Amino acid sequence: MTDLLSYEFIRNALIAAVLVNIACGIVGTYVVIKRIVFISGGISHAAFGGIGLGYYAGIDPVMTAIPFTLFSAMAMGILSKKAKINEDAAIGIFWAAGMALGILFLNLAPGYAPDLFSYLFGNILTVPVYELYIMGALDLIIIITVAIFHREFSSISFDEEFSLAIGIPVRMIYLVMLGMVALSVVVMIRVVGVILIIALLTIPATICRQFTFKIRNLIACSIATGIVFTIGGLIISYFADLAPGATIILLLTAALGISYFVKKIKIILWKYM
Amino acid sequence: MEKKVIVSLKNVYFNRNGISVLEDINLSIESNDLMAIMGPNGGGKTTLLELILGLEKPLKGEVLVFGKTPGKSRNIIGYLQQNPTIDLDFPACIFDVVLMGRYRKLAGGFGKDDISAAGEALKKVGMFELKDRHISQLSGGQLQRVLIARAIARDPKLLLLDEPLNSIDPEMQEYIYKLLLELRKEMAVVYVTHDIGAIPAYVEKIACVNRKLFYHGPKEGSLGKLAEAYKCPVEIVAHGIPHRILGRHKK
Repeated sequence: MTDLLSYEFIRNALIAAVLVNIACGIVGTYVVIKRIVFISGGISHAAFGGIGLGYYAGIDPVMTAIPFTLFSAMAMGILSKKAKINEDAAIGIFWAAGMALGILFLNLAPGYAPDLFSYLFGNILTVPVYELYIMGALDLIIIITVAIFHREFSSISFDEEFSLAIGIPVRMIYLVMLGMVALSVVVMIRVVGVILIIALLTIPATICRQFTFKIRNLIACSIATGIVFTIGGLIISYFADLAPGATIILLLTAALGISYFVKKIKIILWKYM
Repeated sequence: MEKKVIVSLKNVYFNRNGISVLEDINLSIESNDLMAIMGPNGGGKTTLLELILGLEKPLKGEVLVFGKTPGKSRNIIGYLQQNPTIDLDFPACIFDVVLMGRYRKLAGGFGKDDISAAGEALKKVGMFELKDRHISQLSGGQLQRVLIARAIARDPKLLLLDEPLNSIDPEMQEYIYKLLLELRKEMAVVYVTHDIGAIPAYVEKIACVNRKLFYHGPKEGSLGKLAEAYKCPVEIVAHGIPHRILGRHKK
């Protein structure tokens, strides 16, 4: 095990696991309680367009993915609330259009075709050091945003109509929330890839909400759960030579199943003991 | 107690998707009023509250709330919407929900006075003992009381309740009436109902809305006219159950 830590890419992967799950735990909690899983799926897939754009323009794909994903999130948020457009349809269209754009940009990109797989399914072992800094910066933005707007986020997630009546700018706060989803998506792309992002965003919070009803605890629990299973998945994938992104997600899914079981047993024990 | 007008609607018209919902509404609410707004389903009662809250803008006419345009006074209005679309899986205990009612401005926090005000509001509705329970562990009537507590935690001068008695059993209805009676000492209380049976003895003003305002004024001596001439409280006849509407006689 200590041998492993002597490899730089392993150390980076561990740092990435922590940074990713800070973003995931915070944003995922709101995604789950505000029930914006589908729109978050749309945002994460649209991010692929931003990756493609980076390759086409010859700059670091993460740098183009940030504005592109933010833009897609805002567009989805605004269009899906327009009365004339069906929300499901708006999200679905952006979902597919973003992916299609990404593929076309990659087609048109000059020279060597990049490794598509690592962006679709992620590879935590290939995160370069400077991207760790970007991830850290995005984490910081997410933490500050939640520190400022946590009351508004809770209120609009719980009861949008009442929030409007007491003067919360619901539309604006919703867009801020989607903006956070966009940033967390960018943080996660390297680790689990656009296709698996939605699982990492939602599973830890879904596991934890069975055991607490304080949002603060829910966030802390989601971050911890995410870190444990990301690192667990990383270790398994290293020794079994499996794709790390998929291993992490399947491990989390299994954990979710077990947590339901544990919760059931707890309830039964509580009843009969 | 001196009464002053806190809400006034003058010649207000409202359309939704090109269909007239409210026409030529003239209505005033005074401080410490206890008023029932009644009328059939789809008669525009909820819209009336939304106009007062500033959630909707009138097509024509003037709405003044505490002397200002609606929406400027949200910090002194408490609101309970009809069938609130809340998520019972939401991670919040009862106290958290009531505290949400203390929200004043963007990007702030809740202080000591907010916490004590939320506690006071819970005591008023008789739910303080359950403050740490999760919202899914409540009956319909208890949840309604918590949501009323959320509305009054704002220390409002005007409390707007949209069908507060929906899906509440008769015993609890009596409890809520008594609560409203208590609250009107501190604020004007306006509540909407489609059920004529929900006009108890102590409500002194009623407004009858069915696209137009058919009646607006003191309750006593008006009910006969209401049923016949204004066609509004049809339920009075249709119910077939004797409801106590006028003041209770002393035994």
